Amino acid sequence: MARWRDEIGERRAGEGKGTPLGPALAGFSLFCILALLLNGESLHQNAHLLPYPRPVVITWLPSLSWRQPPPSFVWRSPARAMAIRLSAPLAAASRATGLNRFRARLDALFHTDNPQPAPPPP
Amino acid sequence: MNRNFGTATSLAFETHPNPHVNSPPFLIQVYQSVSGHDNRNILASRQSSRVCSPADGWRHGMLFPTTIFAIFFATLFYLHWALVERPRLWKPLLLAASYLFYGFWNWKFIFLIAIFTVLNHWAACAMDRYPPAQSSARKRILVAILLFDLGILAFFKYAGFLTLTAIQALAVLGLPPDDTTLRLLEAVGRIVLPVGISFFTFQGMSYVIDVYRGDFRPGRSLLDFANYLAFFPQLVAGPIVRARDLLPQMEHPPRRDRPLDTSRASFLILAGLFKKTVIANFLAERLADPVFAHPASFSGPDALLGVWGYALQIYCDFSAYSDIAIGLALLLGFHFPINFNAPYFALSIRDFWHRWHISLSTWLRDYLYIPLGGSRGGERQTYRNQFLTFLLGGLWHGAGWTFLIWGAFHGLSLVLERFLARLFGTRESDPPPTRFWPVVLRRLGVFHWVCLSWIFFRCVSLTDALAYFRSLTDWSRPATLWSPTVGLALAAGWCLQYLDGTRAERLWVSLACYPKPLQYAGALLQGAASAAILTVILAMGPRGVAPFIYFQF
Repeated sequence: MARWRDEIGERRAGEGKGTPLGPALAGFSLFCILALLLNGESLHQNAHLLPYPRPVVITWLPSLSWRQPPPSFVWRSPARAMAIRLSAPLAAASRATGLNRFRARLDALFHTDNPQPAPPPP
Repeated sequence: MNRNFGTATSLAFETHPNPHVNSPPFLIQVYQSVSGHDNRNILASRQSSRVCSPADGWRHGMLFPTTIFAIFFATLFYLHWALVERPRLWKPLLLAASYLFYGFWNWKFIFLIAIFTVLNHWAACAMDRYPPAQSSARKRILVAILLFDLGILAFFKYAGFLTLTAIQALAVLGLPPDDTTLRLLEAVGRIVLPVGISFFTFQGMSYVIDVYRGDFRPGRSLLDFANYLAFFPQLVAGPIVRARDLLPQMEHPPRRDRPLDTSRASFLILAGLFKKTVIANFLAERLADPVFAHPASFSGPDALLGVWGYALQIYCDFSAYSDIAIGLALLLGFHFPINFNAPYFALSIRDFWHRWHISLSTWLRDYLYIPLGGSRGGERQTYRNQFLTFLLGGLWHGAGWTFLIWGAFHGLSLVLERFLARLFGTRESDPPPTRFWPVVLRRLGVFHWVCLSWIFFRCVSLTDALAYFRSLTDWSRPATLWSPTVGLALAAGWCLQYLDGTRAERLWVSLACYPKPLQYAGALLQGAASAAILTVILAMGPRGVAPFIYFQF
């Protein structure tokens, strides 16, 4: 049977091509830090939309009577408030390093619909 | 009559008085009113490529191009490489991460995939205990587990379609549905389709069939098999990785002393993000969605632009998912098979299926076409087998007549191609044309032939598809959707097929090929460049992200 494989990847792995783990971890860490600094302000501006708080209905099982629904309560995730609070220092760091301007210029260049800074949450 | 029905059905009854209760459109309305507009069933959820706000994102689970996934993956990346040499910790970690990823869609389905895993592994081990001579015992186990796998798939994916079709057929025959029937329809409409069920079902089936055939010995550890089946990069939209490719990698974890192909991984991930967030979303918003929403109100040129837009959108969307999945797996030290290979450069329909969703087409070939007899039983049987394979391939994509017609269209195209090749005495092994114009004309011909099939694939109903074909013939009005940006996006979508093996990729890969003293500098340079490119992509794309099209399958 013919098999479709990751031919390029396996050939490269066979040839020993690639980055050793140490430099790879360093590169990935720099990528994460830079990505956060470049997009920190934008993340904070959109934090009121993140990360998707959804009321969760928690039901106690089992219900003793089929006539009545089982007792339940609604749990609202604190994720939105946490996202706003946690992204604030990120935005500050982004502004302090001046890297936020790169993203702002790109936004202006591409005319995307990224929102203006959101009003503080109620 | 319907006092005990749910609100949605009651509303349907209020707007549609009793004399029409037995009409098929009314039944569809009842079904749709119950099933809503999330991914509960295929009728209502078809092709929603709408860019949704991050708040909607929860409903679509943990999508790759979202902040929540970035946090998830970055955390897992460090933990993975910290624990990879301690399999007792690493294997449960990987499984927990995969189940967490899947649970973001609907945590209840974690139990489904867990039960599925246990039963398939048990069946494979049970078959392996019998020697090949006792084939009847092995066959009984295989049949039982395949019935279970297909039953799960049929229940979640096809129950609604089959029930609706049966009730419609009875209504046409003059047997109006009673209260019980409508209640059944309502109950069926409430079945939530687990995301990615078609993918992990096919992976499980290929595993037990391979074990039955003796092509593969089952893994000893249930944990390894669970990791193979639920590995998060490919869990919800493929590629359909065979057990013999991935399971050994799960049994022998990646080693820390081996080099990591970060350059190729980052290239695939960034290219995938660009395809998805910039090109696919743009083509969906500006071309495909408006035209396919109201096909009758657009002229021929617009309809043509719409179908071009959809053809390139679905390519950029689906291949983006595969690219990102392959890239993420590479970062964790795993190799996946490729899933796309410049499909619109195909010179025939057969060639197209060697390049499009390769993991599915090879699955269908190995587990359906060849067991049906393949091309061993004469020309007529070959035609039948090709047609049936693609018909079932169409049904795999979704429960609906349009998907069946899409599958039949491709099946008939292959049959026709084979028949013509036989008629003109050409062979599959003949070298393809190499001169410029014959190649271009054949590519364009195949592309437009495939575009015709996408109309069935994308339209919600046959009525819409027919309206679309009528619009395609109306060239009395000019195009209203054309603009230079649209042209640029179409050209970019087409040219992105050239991406593999280009100078851009070679240049990017060379960043990581520094001599030893400069390896850190090279990796840091690549990390910084990746962050900058990611920012450009995020700025170019719309706010929020649309779910990948293939999630619904």
